[in-house]
Amino acid sequence: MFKGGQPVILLVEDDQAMRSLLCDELWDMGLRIVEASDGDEALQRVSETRPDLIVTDLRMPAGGLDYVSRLRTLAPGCPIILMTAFGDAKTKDEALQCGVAAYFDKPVRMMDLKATIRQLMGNHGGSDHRQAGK
Amino acid sequence: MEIQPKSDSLLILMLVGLAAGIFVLDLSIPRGAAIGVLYVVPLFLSFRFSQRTRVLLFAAACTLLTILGAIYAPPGSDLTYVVANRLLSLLVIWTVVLRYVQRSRQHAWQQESEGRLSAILRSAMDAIITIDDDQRITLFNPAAEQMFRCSADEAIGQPIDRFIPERFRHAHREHIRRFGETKVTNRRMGALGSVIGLRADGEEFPAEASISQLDTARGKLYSVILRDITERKRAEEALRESEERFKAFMDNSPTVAFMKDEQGRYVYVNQPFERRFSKVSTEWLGKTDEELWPPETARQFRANDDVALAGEAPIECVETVPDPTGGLQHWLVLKFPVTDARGRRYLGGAAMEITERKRLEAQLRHTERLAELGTLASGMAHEIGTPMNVILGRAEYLMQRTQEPAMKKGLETIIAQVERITKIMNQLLTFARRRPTARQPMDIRKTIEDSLEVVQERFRRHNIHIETDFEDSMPLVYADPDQMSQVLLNLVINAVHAMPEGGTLRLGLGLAGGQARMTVADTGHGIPKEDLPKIFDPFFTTKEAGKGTGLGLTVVHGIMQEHGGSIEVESEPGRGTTFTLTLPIHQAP
Repeated sequence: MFKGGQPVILLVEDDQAMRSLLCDELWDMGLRIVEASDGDEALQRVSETRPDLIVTDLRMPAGGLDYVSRLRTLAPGCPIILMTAFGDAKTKDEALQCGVAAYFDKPVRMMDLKATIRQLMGNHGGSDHRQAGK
Repeated sequence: MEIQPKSDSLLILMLVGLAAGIFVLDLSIPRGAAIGVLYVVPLFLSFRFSQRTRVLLFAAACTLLTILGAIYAPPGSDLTYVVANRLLSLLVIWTVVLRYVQRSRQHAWQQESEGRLSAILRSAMDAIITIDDDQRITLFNPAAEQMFRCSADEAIGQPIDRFIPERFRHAHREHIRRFGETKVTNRRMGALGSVIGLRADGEEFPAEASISQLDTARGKLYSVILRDITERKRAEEALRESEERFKAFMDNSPTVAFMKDEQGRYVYVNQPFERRFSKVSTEWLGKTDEELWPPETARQFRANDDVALAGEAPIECVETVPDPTGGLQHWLVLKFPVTDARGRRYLGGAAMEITERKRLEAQLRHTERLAELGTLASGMAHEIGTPMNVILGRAEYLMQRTQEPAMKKGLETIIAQVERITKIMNQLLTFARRRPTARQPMDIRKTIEDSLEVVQERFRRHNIHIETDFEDSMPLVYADPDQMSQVLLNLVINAVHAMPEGGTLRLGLGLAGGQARMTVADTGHGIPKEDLPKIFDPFFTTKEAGKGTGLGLTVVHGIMQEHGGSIEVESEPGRGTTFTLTLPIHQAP
């Protein structure tokens, strides 16, 4: 299903410690991890690396729902997992409207995140498979 | 009776002539004839003299002539006879003179007395009227003329009725008649001594009247003395009107007002004051605050009174008064020194209750604080979400990589604490981000029953007995069903937590003061008195650390306020806690 070799996951997170945590947690999942620290960088990495999955923060430089929409347009088939600190119901609704596959409120349990990643990688087919988790 | 002086001299000539004639006659007749008696004739005429001394002089002259006649008349009868005859003549003369003197004295006295009476009648300020048995006027003094605008000439002989308004005539006539039948000589007339008079020009006027009676040879005479009190009545009326106006002003004033003397005794309280504090006393005047209020309240009043009385300007203060329901009323009071026309000092006061205003201010402060808290919480959530995630994630990460029990235990604690913070943040955010209240007509009883149903399992587990007292046919309330469920669940779960050893949970629903009234009462451990005022404050909790966020009741309170309702708490440690909630009834359009 993947475009040859290891599947690529794009981690977009402006907080270095958080990004580092995500890298440490995901490195043994057999994925190639590409990192970006803000929205602009993320869009750039998307065109460069054509990721199979994107895990992204929402509130960060060049972030927000606009950024998520652009991401969606740029990588139409790629599932997006959105995380945001203590998001509210409205943000969650809007994010799902934008076509994200899964939504998590920080603090997110790594177990849950990894389970969702595994599930999305297994069903890699696009954003139809929407899941909201916490 | 007065005789002109020139007539007096004519009289003297005439009398001298007469006396001389009698003397000549006496001398020409032998002694013994009773000629001396003839002097009585001129003597009688001499009574016409204006001066009594002239009469006496003339009598003396007649006496002398009688004696001279006895000496110089030609001899006749026996001497004894002559002397007796002459003495008899003198006796007659002097008897007549003495009678005259007596009469003339009496006459003079009578004249003087009449003159005095007439002067009194003329100068009296009061109208003096006398009437006879037929109630016809016999005397009408100048004051009466002025009062009734009618001359004495016109009035005398008229019935007194003429000066009494038609409608009172009968009663008046009867009054006089009955008075005449009594032995009382003097009494006031009319109710409270005042009657209505009728002037000749038709104007009526109030008068004070008294009546007296006198029996005379010509029948009964009544004297009526009247004083026109129109002016006095008018002044009294003006004063009364002014007093009434003042009273109406004070009694309709939105403020309670009072006045105390320098000893602190109430000398005046207005009606609003009496109404407002009717439970404290029904009688205020003459009493001091120390006799009426609890010592602490009285001390507070007295201290402010002293400050106001010591100065010249009003002072403004807030005083607290115990409420019959057990709370405290707050009053904004203006106190000021009052000096009356006689220089006496008083303390004046006007007060307005500001309990409700204070409560609203406190509520507003509370609401503002909560709003700030919400803003703060939202801002903070974004900032701490990621660091918390890192802590949590790192702890989980290490957890998977260690087998050491101490390490595992420490990591578990870290994870649990992050989860605790997360829970608090979530609740805070739920409160901060709660959607606007969507009120609708709803059956609150059903919401209560549903809430109980949700917690049923916990009741069983904690051995909690449920008692309900719901009024039948409750009207719909106007509220947000979701938020009402939140409120009830919160209170019910709190109650469960308060009764770990089991107990009774009583739920009540009824109507009170046009609102729905709900009660949630437990028989749990209760809340210490000092904690009661804080229980709706954010982050205040009596639960042990980690069990409560301290936001549940804050949210409940906020919801009830938004609904235009209320929530109050009563609690007694060891006995239990009762929450009383009120909600507006749905008003069908």
